[in-house]
Amino acid sequence: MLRLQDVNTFYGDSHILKGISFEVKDGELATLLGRNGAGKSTTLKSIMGIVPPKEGSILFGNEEMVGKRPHQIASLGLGYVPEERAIFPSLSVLENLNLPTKKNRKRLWGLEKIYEYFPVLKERLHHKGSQLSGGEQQMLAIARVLTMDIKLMMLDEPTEGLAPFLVLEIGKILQEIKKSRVVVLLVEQNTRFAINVADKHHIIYEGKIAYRGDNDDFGVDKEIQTRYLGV
Amino acid sequence: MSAQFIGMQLFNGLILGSVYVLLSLGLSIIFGMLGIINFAHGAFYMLGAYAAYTITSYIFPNFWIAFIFGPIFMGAFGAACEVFFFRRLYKLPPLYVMLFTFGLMMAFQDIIRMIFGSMGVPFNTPESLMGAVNLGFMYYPKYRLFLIIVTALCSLGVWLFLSKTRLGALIRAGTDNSQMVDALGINISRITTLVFGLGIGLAGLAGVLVAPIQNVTHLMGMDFLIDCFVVVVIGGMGSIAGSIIGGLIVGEIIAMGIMVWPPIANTLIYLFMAAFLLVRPRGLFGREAFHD
Repeated sequence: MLRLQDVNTFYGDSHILKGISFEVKDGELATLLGRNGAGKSTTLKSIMGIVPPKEGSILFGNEEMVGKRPHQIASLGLGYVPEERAIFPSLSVLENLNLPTKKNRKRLWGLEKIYEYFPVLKERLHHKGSQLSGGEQQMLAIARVLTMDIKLMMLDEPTEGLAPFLVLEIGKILQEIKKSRVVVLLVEQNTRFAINVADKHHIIYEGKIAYRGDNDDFGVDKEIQTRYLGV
Repeated sequence: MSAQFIGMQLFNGLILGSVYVLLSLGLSIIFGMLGIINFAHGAFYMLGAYAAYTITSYIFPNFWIAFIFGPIFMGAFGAACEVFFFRRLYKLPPLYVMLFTFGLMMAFQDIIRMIFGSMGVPFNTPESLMGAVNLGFMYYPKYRLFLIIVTALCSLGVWLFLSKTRLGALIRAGTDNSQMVDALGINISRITTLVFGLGIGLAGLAGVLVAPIQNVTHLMGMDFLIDCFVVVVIGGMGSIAGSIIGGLIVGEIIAMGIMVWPPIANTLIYLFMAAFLLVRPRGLFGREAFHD
């Protein structure tokens, strides 16, 4: 589904991703873990074409993403929920949901299903994005991407700053997304949450993948968790 | 001071305000979406007036043809400028783009001076709008009333377009966060061209509208541009409501100033702006985010 091969990305002169390689397969919910500044967000932005890599290859299906513009990458079925959620404050909730171009009339995640899984959004359809709480913004950011009929969803720290009951809610929604055959690539700081929801983990350390493993192995490997994540 | 004189001045303020509104709407949506302060905006307005003059003098001697096609031509011209010039500059620091718009302004002014001379050109009020209307409490020139109504309709149209249509929602989203619009699968560059065309089209419309009541010269955009910055500061950068309210406030302040003591009229708006900057730097409707 998604395969990164030796991806190198720079911010100006500073070398952030130093040859990242990993793969996410159909039906998986995979994570990118690591300390602050390790390059997790930059990896997502490189995939999305927002911070284009200088070297390397990013295959999505059989197509090369490197060299494409973000809107081209998105319309191939990649959804991106950035860390800052990026809700449009001057648009209503409904306008935020309707903004992405819809290719198919019959969608896996139509508005009805969205309202079922995000009841809070249905209540606030005509509120402006600027009036939403942090949790509501996160829900909207996820729902907005789901309306696009995506094949892969990338989320950057969706649980950051949310109350525990909302973190649970996000976990449930992620499972539902996975059930609808959307592959998920999750960037997380919250290791416990990651272990609760994911099948597979990658740890980024100083711009490289330092560890990869299944959830069963990683979940009990306290040594790895302490060494790279300091938990 | 008679009530009629005060009423007259209030309406004259509305005229001035109308022109400010049309110009700052464009200035403001372009700034909001592209982060560019377009110094050439006044020059585009001047080109609008010259487009109207060229159409009525050389192509078809009818004001209404100029009224319809002048703004359309300017909108298309603005869109072309975006595609051929501005698009190349977005990756550079904003200062370069501002310098470019400054150069563009100089170039437009000099080209017009070379073609039409520095004395300006005559422009007649259309016959159907000559004379005055009895408003009950005073007589007011028909053409000026027409200008006020057209501006009101245009502002309403722009507001409806931006707040009720999908394209309008895309433009607002682009103003909020253009990178995210891109990441949601929408080709933002087409919207950018449209916004530029719309903004310049409005400036062109302002130019066409003032041609019969102002001197049409190659420098006519200069003063208005500076005043429009005052409008945008007071109304708030990137805000539609701010452009409309700010434009009318500034127009009325000048008109009232003229009534009290003419030499102080223009100074008043700068004092007002300075006070605004001290008390509420983001303007009436401006968002906090622009000042982060």
